Amino acid sequence: MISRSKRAAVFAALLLFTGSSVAAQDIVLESRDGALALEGMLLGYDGEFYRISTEYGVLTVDGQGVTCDGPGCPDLTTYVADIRISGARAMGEVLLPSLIEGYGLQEGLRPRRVIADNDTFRIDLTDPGAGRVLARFHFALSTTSDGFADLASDSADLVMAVREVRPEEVARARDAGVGDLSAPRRTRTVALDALVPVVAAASPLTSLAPDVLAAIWSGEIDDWAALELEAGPIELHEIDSDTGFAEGFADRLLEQAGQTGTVSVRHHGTAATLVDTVAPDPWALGLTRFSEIGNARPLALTAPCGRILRATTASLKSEDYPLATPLLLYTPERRLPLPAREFLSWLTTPAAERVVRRAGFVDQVPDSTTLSGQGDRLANAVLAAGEEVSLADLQEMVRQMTGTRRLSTTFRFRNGTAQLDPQSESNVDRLARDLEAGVHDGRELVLAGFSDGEGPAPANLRLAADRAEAVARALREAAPVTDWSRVTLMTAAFGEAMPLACDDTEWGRRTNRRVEVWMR
Amino acid sequence: MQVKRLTMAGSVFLVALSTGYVMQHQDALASRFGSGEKRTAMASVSGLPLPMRKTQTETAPVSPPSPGNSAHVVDLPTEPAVVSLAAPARHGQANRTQEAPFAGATIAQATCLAVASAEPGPDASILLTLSAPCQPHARVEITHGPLAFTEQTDEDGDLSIHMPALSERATFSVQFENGTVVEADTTVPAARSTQTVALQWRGDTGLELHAFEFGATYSQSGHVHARATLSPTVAGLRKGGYMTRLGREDLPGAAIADVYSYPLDLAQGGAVRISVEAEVTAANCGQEVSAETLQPLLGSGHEVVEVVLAIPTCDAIGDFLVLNNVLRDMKMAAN
Repeated sequence: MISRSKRAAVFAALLLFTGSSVAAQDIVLESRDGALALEGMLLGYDGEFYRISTEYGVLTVDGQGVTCDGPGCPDLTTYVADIRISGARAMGEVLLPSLIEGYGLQEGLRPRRVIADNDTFRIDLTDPGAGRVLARFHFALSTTSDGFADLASDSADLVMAVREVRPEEVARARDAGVGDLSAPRRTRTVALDALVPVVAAASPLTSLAPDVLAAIWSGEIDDWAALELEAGPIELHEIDSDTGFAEGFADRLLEQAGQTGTVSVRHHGTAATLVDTVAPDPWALGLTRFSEIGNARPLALTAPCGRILRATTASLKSEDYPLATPLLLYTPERRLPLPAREFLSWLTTPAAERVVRRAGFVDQVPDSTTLSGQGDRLANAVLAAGEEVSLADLQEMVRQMTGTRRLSTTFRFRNGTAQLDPQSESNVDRLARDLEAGVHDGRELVLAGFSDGEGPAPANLRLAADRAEAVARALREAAPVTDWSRVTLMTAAFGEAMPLACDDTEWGRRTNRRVEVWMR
Repeated sequence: MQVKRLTMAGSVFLVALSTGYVMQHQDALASRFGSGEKRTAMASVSGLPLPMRKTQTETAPVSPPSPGNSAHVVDLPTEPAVVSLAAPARHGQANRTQEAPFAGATIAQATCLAVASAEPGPDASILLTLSAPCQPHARVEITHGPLAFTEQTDEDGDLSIHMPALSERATFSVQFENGTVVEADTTVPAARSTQTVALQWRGDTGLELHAFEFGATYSQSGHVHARATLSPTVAGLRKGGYMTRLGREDLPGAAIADVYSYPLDLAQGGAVRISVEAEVTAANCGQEVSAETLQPLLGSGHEVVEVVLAIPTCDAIGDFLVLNNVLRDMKMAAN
């Protein structure tokens, strides 16, 4: 059958990226009292500040204090901020455009989307009162890797990333003068997402063990008969490996299981085309995103010890689902134009979270669950009790949990370190903001530390306590203006008492090592 | 910048295929619901028995400036005998403070009254009727919330349109070129459980809204677009959504809208993909065309965003521009 999508390959030659660079020309900046003057080449103007190359080096000068003279001076009244956003389609197709339009509407600006093709468009924000465009957000959709490359070559101001920046990308960006992209302030979590295995809508399969998944991806299992289904070749589908999703999958499941993906896998440019291909095909097994399951059937992960982990809004928020891949925005160290900075700070508001939900993604607003809603967890705790965790330990934990609600906010750590992962860093910021704003006034927050079950229980208990303390310190540091007479922050540790996943895999142990927030 | 195109053979084959489908499909519809009409968008609607249930219809009459009678402006009585209109006017909303004496002049003037009414139909649709006996072949702009389209009364000054409701409390405003406005409103409880998205534009842009329900591909029954439109009833029978094209494309500069409605109570879990397509024609090639997207907000209401689409250059005539991300896909939880 002829695929209509091929007909989409019609592009218009439209010059979208006019860019904001001002031709380097001589200018003289003179202070308003005329006492000081600076001569040089104008490197840039962002609506507020001049960047000028002078005999003293590159200087940034506040536009309010000076007048500009010379052929290179920008026209101050018609200045339009141009902000270039590049990177993963998973974020650029729906999420970021919705957010920019939502931000514009909220600020009383009129958004206008100018589209060249599916991957190239821009959004203009117009001030309807003054009748002029204030900002143009230019989108170039490709992959996370291309986004970082664009940032390093100064063709992007913001990078949409579905994975964390890699060391070689950090190095390249540093060489290009973009700054240290691995610093916590350079990244922010826009929405939550996760990798989800999918099969045909009509498939009887509902879950798969991660080691089976790994065996399939390594070619060890290549027929559905091995899963006690009708015999036939298993056909694998991934989003373009460069999107970062498949990489995340490999990092988390395959390599740790001693496997690498070497079999033939069909790659798709977007998650939508992947699920649309998998949904009607009984032989297909794909790896997609939670935000784009389409009409395919998502599979839960069954761990060898019998626990089932399912991607849901709740399990993404708490990161209890092991294949979480938050959607990240990276910013360079340089100063961005005012509308970009305002947009970035707007991203943390409730209005932005509503847009995230409306766009079909999982927001970061914490949910809370009562003890009675945590039956599965308690059952796991009872099942896991034995030699190392006594009945008395369990009773103590349940006593502490009674009357509390668990916040979905959960803190997890990078493999083998005490460093928080990106979603957890974002959680620290969010909880700190709420503490300072008095959202939790009159409450007691218990930071409950847990460990995996490797090693002796007393050592694990100590590790869990250390982690809870580390999170408490990070919160106190991030929320300096909190009125601590109104809210109590405590720590507790329960070691390996309440596992969420199995300890027989690295990803399972990582899921278990965590600090939860209980609130009463 | 790169310009990629397809082999023409492929496109032509596909166009032929889908046209064949549409024609067959229209025949099928026609045989089931009576003869079709010239205008595709209305064809399936006009053949259907129209719902006659009336709930809370209201009218807001205005006095059209009719030359000759201007000397004697009378407050119009709205007794049914006077307003002998075909439309189901529920009297009581108009100004009744001054009952004027019955006179020939007032009858003439009264029958010139333009009246609009709206009644809910199946699956969050609405039957909007307009009666303007003194304004035959009059061009009107109809607005319903953020939705706007251009229509024309027939030789008797009548107009009836079957259209989707965007909100539970649905108000309609009909504006004539001479500036008079009539309004109607009704309550459509089903609108609360119906998702609607729309694309609207002015003039001959070549734009079309396409919906692909739950994995449907081109020309399958779940592929819903204005050239294969289904009435709410038929859509309900096959458990899907329906596309309504509003506006008269034969009028120059007319406002046109494609509205896709999906009743959520039908929902099986899954996604309906929504795309904006435009055939590259001699009329639009190489141009930028403007349109507006209407998408639901959380809760109620629609967000309106202006979009500008660059139509490919004229050496791509016959090809289709397909844009997948202008409107969000609809994601439905299983019911």
